[in-house]
Amino acid sequence: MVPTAEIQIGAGIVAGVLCGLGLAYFGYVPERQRNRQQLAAQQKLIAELSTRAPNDEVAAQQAALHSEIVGLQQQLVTQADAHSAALSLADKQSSLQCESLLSAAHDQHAQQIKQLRELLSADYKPLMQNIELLMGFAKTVERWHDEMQSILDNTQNIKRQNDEFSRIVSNVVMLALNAAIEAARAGEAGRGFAVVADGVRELANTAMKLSVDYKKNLSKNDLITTTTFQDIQASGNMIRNVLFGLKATTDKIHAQLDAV
Amino acid sequence: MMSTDAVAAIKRLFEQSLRENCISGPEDECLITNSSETVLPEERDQHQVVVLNISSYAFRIVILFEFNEDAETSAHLAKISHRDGKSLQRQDLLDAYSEFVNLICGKVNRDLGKSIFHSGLSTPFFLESTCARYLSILKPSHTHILDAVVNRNVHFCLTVCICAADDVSIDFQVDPAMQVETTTGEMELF
Repeated sequence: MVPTAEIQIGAGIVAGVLCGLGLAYFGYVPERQRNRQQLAAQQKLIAELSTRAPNDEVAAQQAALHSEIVGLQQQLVTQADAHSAALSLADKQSSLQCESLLSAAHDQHAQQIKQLRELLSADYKPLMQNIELLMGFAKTVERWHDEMQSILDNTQNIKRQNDEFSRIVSNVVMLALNAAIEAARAGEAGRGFAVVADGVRELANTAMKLSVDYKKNLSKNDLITTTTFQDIQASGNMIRNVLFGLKATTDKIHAQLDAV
Repeated sequence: MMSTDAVAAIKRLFEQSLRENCISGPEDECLITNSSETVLPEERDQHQVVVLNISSYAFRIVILFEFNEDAETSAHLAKISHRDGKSLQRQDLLDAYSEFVNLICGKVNRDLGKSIFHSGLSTPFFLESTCARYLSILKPSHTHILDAVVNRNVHFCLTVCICAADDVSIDFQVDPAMQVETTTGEMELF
């Protein structure tokens, strides 16, 4: 069945052709040229229309295309499902692998810490023993303190003895002086005795000078001995304080290792 | 060799400690005079002085304390050492001297420890005052005298001798915050 529009177009074309022939027949040239142009246009339109596919074919092509699209969609969904499943599997495998690696690393670290702890524990004991032994240095300083006190006491004794010696020498000087006076009174007879008395007095004066110098040296000795001992004692206390700090730090490190 | 800053810091620490510990309460008035004169004051009768040592690795400080042996000083020391009301007999007086010296030097030692980390304190020893004439044989690099008068009638004198190694450079400063610390010194344990 031919569609009504096409019949109408066909009739129009026929009418146009007939009109054109009529005008050409009557010698109307410009009109004939225009009609020729219209005819050419109409022929072009007919050619275009003749290439158009009928509706059924278009519908069939559409249906085929739709079917192809549906098929492709299903294929895509299937592929997406497959990819999703593959991703999920890869994720699971990756998680398992990570867990396994982490577990291995953890075990390795635990092993290393254990070894380190064993190593440090082995060193900790002798270290603490050494620190404790060094703390006993205070006892040594105490001993030195007692000895130092003995030295100071002994120096006091020497000073007392020196004072006694000094007192004796003073008496000898006085005696020598008296002897010299008595010798002078005796006149010529006492001249020899006067020489002896002067000699004794000179010796006593020298002894007195020595005694004074000796006393000064004893005082210097007291100062040097005392301050030297105090330096040792104070340094000992400084070392003991350092050891206290060292012990506290070692204990802290050990406690932290135990807590790991 | 000890730097000027370090020497000044030690002087400040002693002055601060003396100022804090030589009074028995806020009612006491303390006047401290500084002097770098190494010439000792006019010779008095033979008496005892107290010597103490603070040591670190490269230096030591020898401190010599002299006390006026009079009733006022004795009473003041009794008050400081919480022996108030007691008349100090000879041994009690010597013990009070030792405690006082420990109090002053213990505070300095602790404060020094904050700056130089390691230092130690000796016990006090008594020497005859004539020994003080020979301090130069210790070859101190710096000598400083602090003279404290409390309530115009109690008198203490400190001679601080710093003996530092020549071949080691010693430099430190005292934290100014330390200067306002008001806690009283504690007895050092030996």
